[in-house]
Parts: sequence; C-alpha cells; structure tokens
Amino acid sequence: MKNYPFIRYSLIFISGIVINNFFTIGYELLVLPLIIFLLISILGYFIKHKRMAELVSTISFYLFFFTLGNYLHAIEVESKFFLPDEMKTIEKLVVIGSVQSIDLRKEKEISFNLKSDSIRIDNVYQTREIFLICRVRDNDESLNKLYNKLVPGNIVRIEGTFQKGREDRNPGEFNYDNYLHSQGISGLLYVNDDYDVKIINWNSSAFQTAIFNARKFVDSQIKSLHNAQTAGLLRGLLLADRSNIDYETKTEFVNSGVMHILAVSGLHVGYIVLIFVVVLGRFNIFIRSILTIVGLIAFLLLTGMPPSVFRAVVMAVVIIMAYMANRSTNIFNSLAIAAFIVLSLNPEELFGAGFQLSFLAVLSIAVIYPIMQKYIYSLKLKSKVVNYILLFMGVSLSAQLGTLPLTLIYFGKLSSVSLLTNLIVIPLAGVIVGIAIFTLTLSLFISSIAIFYSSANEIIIYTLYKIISFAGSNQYSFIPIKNFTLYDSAIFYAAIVLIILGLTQFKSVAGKIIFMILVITNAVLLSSFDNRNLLEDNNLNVMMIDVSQGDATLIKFPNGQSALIDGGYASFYFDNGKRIIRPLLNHLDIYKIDYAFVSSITQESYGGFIPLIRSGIIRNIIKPMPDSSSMVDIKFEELIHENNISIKYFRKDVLEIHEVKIYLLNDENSTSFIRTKNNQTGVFKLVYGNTSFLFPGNIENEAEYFYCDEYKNFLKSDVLKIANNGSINSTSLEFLQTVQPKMSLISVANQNKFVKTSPFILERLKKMNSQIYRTDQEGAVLLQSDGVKIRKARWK
Amino acid sequence: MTIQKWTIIKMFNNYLTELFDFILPRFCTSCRNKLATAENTVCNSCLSKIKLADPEFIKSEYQRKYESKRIISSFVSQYIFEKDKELQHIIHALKYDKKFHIGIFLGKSLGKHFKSQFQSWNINMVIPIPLHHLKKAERGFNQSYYIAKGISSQTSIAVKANAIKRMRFTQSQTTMTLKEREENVEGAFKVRKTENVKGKNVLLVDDVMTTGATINECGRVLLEAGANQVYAATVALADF
Repeated sequence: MKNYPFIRYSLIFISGIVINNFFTIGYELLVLPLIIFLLISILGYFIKHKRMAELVSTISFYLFFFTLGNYLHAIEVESKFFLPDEMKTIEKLVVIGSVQSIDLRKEKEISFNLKSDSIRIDNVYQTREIFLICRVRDNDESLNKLYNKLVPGNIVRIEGTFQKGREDRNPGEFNYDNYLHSQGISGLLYVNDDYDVKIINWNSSAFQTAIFNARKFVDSQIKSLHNAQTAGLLRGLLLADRSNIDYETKTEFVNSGVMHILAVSGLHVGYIVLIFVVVLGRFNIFIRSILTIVGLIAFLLLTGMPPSVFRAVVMAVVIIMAYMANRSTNIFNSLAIAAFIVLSLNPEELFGAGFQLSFLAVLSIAVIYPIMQKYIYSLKLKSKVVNYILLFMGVSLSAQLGTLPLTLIYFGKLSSVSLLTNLIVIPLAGVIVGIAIFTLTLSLFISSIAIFYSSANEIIIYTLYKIISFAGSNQYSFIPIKNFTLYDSAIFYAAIVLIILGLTQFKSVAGKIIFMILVITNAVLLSSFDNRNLLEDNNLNVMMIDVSQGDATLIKFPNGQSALIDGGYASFYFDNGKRIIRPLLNHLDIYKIDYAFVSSITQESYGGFIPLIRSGIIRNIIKPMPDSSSMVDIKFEELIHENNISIKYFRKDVLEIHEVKIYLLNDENSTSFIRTKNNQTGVFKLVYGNTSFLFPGNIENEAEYFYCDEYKNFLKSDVLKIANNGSINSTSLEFLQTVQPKMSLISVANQNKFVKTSPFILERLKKMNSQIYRTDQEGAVLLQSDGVKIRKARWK
Repeated sequence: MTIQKWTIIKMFNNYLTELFDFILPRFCTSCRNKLATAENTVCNSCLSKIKLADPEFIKSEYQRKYESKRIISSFVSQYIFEKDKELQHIIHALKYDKKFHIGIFLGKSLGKHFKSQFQSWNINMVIPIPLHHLKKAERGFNQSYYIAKGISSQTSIAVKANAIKRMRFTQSQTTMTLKEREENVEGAFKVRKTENVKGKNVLLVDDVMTTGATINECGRVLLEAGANQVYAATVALADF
C-alpha cells in the first residue's frame, strides 16, 4: 500500500460513491469544491520543501478524489430519467425514439433498447427522455423481417404496453425492477404486432450498426455450423448472449458452481489473451501486445460491451500497458486502476452483483492464493501433475472463498461439488472457446473443413453438459443457505482475515488448529443471531403466492408438512411452476409437497403443477373427479400415474394433518347439476383451533348458491380466498354473507391486462368490513395462525 | 531557442513521469525500492554497487578465452557478474520475469560506455546471440535482442536480429564445464543468408559471457559465411 498510493485514492474515490448513494448531494453543489481541491493540491505540489504545503496538498488531493466519487455518482443519478413510480403499467403507450442497441434474435421475440424523444400517454404527447427495453413478439416471418431491417440509430414509433420490471413479489425473489433502475431503464415495452413498430427515420449510427452486423454474422455462422445445444452455449461464450440457454441448464450450472463460465468475464478475456499470445508468439513484444489489445477491444465490441467484459478488458489492458511501460504490474494496483476507470464511467456499477463478484474474485485470488501456494510447495510433492492440480484447485478455491458471501446472497446455494467441476469445466471451456474461434475463422475460407472442427466441439460441449447435468442435478450437489445477509458477510470476511492472520502468526500446528476452531465456532454463533425461519414452526402458515396469472397458495402445517393449492398459469414465455413456485420452495427449505390441491383442470390451476410433478417433489394429489371428455384431464391423470403419485378426488371427506382439519366440501351429486367446469372445482375449508380458511377454488355464482344451501353456517370462515381473481361471476353477496370473512385474499397479477379484479366485488368486501389483501399490491401474502388468532406476517 | 524548447519538453516529461509513477509506480529491479523520477529500471544506489570490469581484466579474459581461437577480433564487457549481487538480480529479472525493458536499459548503458570503441571498430551491424525458437516462445523474447536494441539506440548501428539461426535446442549451460559447453554448442548455429554478412564487421551481443563458447561458435559460422571481422560485447563477464 505504501508504495502504491493510487490504491488509497481509488478506495477514497469508491467511498465517495458510497457516501453519495446514501446522502444525495446535487452535482451542481460539488463542482466548486472539486475545482478548489484540485487547485489547492496542484498549488501545494509546486511549493516544494515546505512541510505544511505538502500536507495541505495531500489532504486536498484526497478530498478531490472523494468529491470526484460523489460528483460522478450524483451526475449519473441526476442524468437518468424515469417514469413516475406509480406508473406500473401503461397500455397503448406510444414512444418515439431512437434504437440504441439490438439484442440477437431470440426464439419468438426481438428485443432492443430504446431511448425516447417523446411519449404519448392517454393521447397526450410529452417530451421525455427515458430508456426502455422493447420486446416485440409476433410470428416468425414478421419478426425476421423486422430483425433484418432494424439497425441501431433508427428513429422508430412504437405502440405497446409498458410494464415496470418485476419486483421481488415473493420471498427470495430477484428484484428485476431495481436492477433495471440501476441500469437507467424505466421498464419494458411489450409489442405484440410487428405492425406497431414503424421506422420513421432510417438514420443509422455507422459504428453501432457495424457491431450489430458483426454480431449477427457471427451468430449466423455459429448457428449454421453447430447444433442447437452447442450454438446456445457458444453464443453465450463468444457473444455474451445467454438467452438460448434454458432455465434448467442455468440452474444446473449454478448448482454445480460453474455459473461463472456462462458469465462472459475475466476467464474468457484470459482465454482470448492466451490465444493471442500463443498465435502471435513469433512477433515482437510490442506488436504482440498492441495486437492483443486490439483483439481484446474487438472482442469487447463483438460481445456488445456488457459491463462484465468491459471490466475484464480494462483490467487486462491495464496489466499489458504496465508491462509495456516497464512499470509494476502489482495486482492490487491494477485492480485499483481498473475499478477507478470502470466506476468513473458508471459509478452505479459498484452496487451491482457483477462488479462485486468479479472484483472480489480477483482480489481474493490475490490475497488467499499465495498462502495456499506456499503451503502446496511446502508439501514437496513428487508428482508434477498432482502439484498442478492442487495449485489449480487453490486458485479456484480462493476465488470461491472470497466470493462466497455474494454467491450465497445472490443464489442462496453453496455448491459442494464446485471444486471438482471447476477442475474439469474451466480447462474444457478454454478448449471450447479456442476451437470455436478457430472453427469460425476457418469457416470464412473453407467451410467444409470447419464442419469437422465444429463437430468436435459439439462432442466436447455434449460432454460438458453431461458432466454439469450429472453434477448439478443431484440433490446433494448443493447446500441451500438462506437469508444470508450483509451482517453474515461481514462476519465471514472478518473470520477469513482472522484465519489468515492466525495461520501466518501461530507457529505450532496445535495453535493453528485451536485458533481456527475458535474463529469458526464464533463466526457460526455470531451469524446465527439474525437467522429466522419465515414460515414459523408450530403455526399454520398460509402464503398466497404472487403468480403472474392464476392462483397458488402454499401451506405449511404446524407439524412441518406442506400443501400447495394450485400451481399458477404456465405459458411458453413464463411457467409459474418452474420460475416462481420452485425457487420459492427452495428459498423456504421445502423439498416435498405432501398435498397438492388442483382445484380444477384449467391452465390457471394445473399449469404450474406439471414441472413440480415431473421433479418428483409431490406426494399426494387431490383433484376434481376425472373427466373422460377432456383430453387435457386424461393426459394430466396419465402424468400423475407415471410419476407414481397417489391420487385422491374432491368428494365429501375430512383430512387430518396434525391438528389441522381439512374439510373437502364437494358433493358427488352436485356435479350433475353444476354445469360449467369452474363450478366443479374443489372447495375445501381448513380449520386450525379457532381459526379457519375457506378455499372455494374457481367457484362461480351457480355453485356458490349450492354450497350456501348445503352447508349454511359451516361455511363461515375467518379468511376467504376470493375465487377467480375477484371476478364479478363469483363472490356473490349471499355467499359472502354466509362466509363472513374477516380477511379476504385476492390473487391478481399487477401486470396482467386481461385479468382484473372487479370494483363491485371490492366494494362488496369493504361493506362487509373484510380486510382485503391483494397480491398486485403487496406481492405474496403470508398469514400465520397459532390456532387462536390469525396475523399477517411481513416477509419483505 | 531550441535549448529552451528542450528544457520545457523535458520538464513536462518529468511531470508526466511523476503522474504515471503515481498511478503505476516503478521499482528498482534489484533492491525493489521505489525509483525517483530521473532514475530508470535500476536505482542509482544499486547501479553504483555493480562492479565495473576494468580494461586490464577484459584484456586478460580476451587472451584467455578468445585469442587462441582467432575468431573474435576484439571484445568488451561492462560489468563483472557476481553471484547473489545486484547484477544477478537484474539479469534474472530480464531472463525469467519477462522484463524486456531491462535489456534495452543494459544495452543503452553498454552502448554509451563503449561508444568510442564501437566506432573505432567500424561496425556494420549488431547481431544478438539467437535463442532457439522454442526457447524464445517459452521466454517470450530473446533478451540479447533487446540489449542489441539498446546498443543500437546509442550508436545508431542497425540490429540484424535474424542473421543467425539457432538450429538445435541446446541444454542450459549453467552447470557445464568449458569442454561440455563447447560440445554443447557445436554446430548449433547457422547463418541464414550469407550475403547479409559477407564482408561486414559484425558485433555479437549477449547478456553474460562465461566461457565464451557460444560467442566463439557464433563467430565461427559468421567468419565461414564471409564476415570481415567479428567483435563481441556482453553486459557482464562471469568468472570461470
């Protein structure tokens, strides 16, 4: 540190950004101090040999860097314009603006970034500069047409539905809106007809267009030479576009601890540097270094300049330049310079997962690896191979140790196989990138030979996928660690520092071991203070999950068993079972569903169940009587049987789970005169002590009258789950008067323009003095009953 | 006028160096202390500690190692190579830490020190002792080439890097005796194009001269190819 003053200044600069994030100060106020501090420090520099002047100069130079961090962050914050917060969804929003960058073609979708000049809300035009991600969905043919004519720089007029990014609507979810906000993006603009995208000015920015065309070209080459699986991965590795890698594969990558392979970053930049160094081995050092830098910049442009690649390229260029200039290539100093450059251009990145992960990874390799290296050398191993493997694992382990708190916060999983998988996957990824670049270059000249190389790569990638899928699909491949907080991270790092100190300070082995045990037990103890289980044991927990369409309610019984009532809607774009319920179950440490209630065989109820059934976590299913006239129902029954799940039908019965009684209210006789499918839905009541919950499925008025007649006062419940998102066809006045709910739960997505809660129903509930909880307003709703009374628990 | 202009540029240059030193500091290759703005690669204190080879010693070494073979017409070397001392650190950093700038630095110093000698020898080209291409790929560069570059920058004599080719991948000579070294390098070199060196006065450059076996062998192939006179210059002389 003493020899590298810039590290200190860089840290001061970073603290300036952090401070400004908490105490926002307008950038206009900071201009003057900035200039004054700079002038004082320059002045002090020229007055030589005066202690006082030197001191003042140094202090004001520190202050200059501190103010600079504040200033740049303030500028960034103030230069971003967003739509007002309360505008969550705007239908028929018209945007006139310029296309910034276009993503590579996705299946059934084209997306691009848009900077608006003016927008039209409710037929009123206003000038507004905001950034939007535009997603156009249409048939293949019209999408291709649009994809081929649209280039960056075009001025377009687009009409579509605006939506804010998805917030964390259920416990443990990623807050996409916050993420978009940090990127300066107001939200998403969905367009369902290519006709709504009109190019009104064919302007094009030559540079951006060239990059876009190059990306398109490489993409088409990759696709024409490889099969879909390989092309998907190569697109991720070479073009930093992961959209063609499906969600399951990504989960397996996370589970086996090799997700960093898919995030184009330091590792890939390292491979590119390696390839250049090998290929240009015969050239003079200067030419080689300059060509490597040029190559890195080309790679940066080709990947579309994502922040991760930019960071890694900046770091690599700093190191190469320092080498060329005969200056020190101290890793900490290079890291400080790279951080300073990256954050000067985009201070907000400091708060992003990507920045933190990549800098921490390098930092921890620089700190922890030398200790491991020393230890491994001291073993004096005979076998060179074993030595190399150990050293390699040392690098991998140091990076993983240093980034562990972040991976736990962001992914909630500790991969137990990552050391082994990385040992295989990292070199394999290098080989894949190398062959892919060679194949693509060769295909420009002799495509017939390139095919041989591409097939070789297909085999390697197939093997890679097999290894990862084998390692990642195993339930023992990762240990779920929930609710890892900043506080836990602080303890973790303190423990690491103490352990490193202890290992270097203590001479005797026993001393080292005792010290380590002390530190670890203390860390575990300290970090357990803020642990708490969201779904409390010994209580009945009822959580209405916020799904984008349909219903889903999770129940955890006092004895720890669990039930899921409906699984939400599943469509090609979004499967609630896979994308919301499964991660939520993981987050809540629920690994089996003892009872799955499928209220009715409609997409809204059973869609999300399919992935859950396939994954084998469901024990019992309770569904409506089989309907031989419905192909969907027949197939659904088949699926249940294939997975050996025991099946039960909604008919008068009582299930007892610990002290909770579930009364199934359906009457076999009722089906004969209740005609619509919604009315054959499962209706049941949960009773725990003095508290009760009524789940009427997708019931409509006709059946409501039937149940009122049949059960009368028995329907009376504390909590009523409102049927059909609060549609006017359900929740009749008579039904409500019979149930007399103190609380009503309404599941309705805040971003769904087709399904809306009827204002009449809301009015009706208000008149009944029933407390309304809606998922569109607060996300998931968690109610807890101790058998005496029900209270609403906070989870955010 | 021109003098004023130069001082301004130099002053500006100093400030620039100071700024770069702030961001990416430079350290002495030998003692690892921070370099002052005016210093370059090796700090003055370390530089002063390196033992200079006095002319008498050079002369006796020449007589011992070259005279009888009648290949090398004359020979100079700037320093004495001492084990575990400054120069060894510096040359190690050059060869094994990929710090090629040190080569240029040492070459410049060598060129400056013997400028008059080189001029009196009427040299046409500087030829660095080549590395085998595998060795070069492993090390990343040929350290002698950068020393030759340094000499060239002081004397403006052109460097001919590819005049000689190393044919064989020879063993490292650090632990060998003179006889072993002579056998090791025998037939290891070849002149690429004889017309390039025909009738020319050539200066062979290497980092450290120990037994002179390598330089003698290179000189031999150069004379065979028709070179007029072959001279040699090395950064250091090792006792052998």
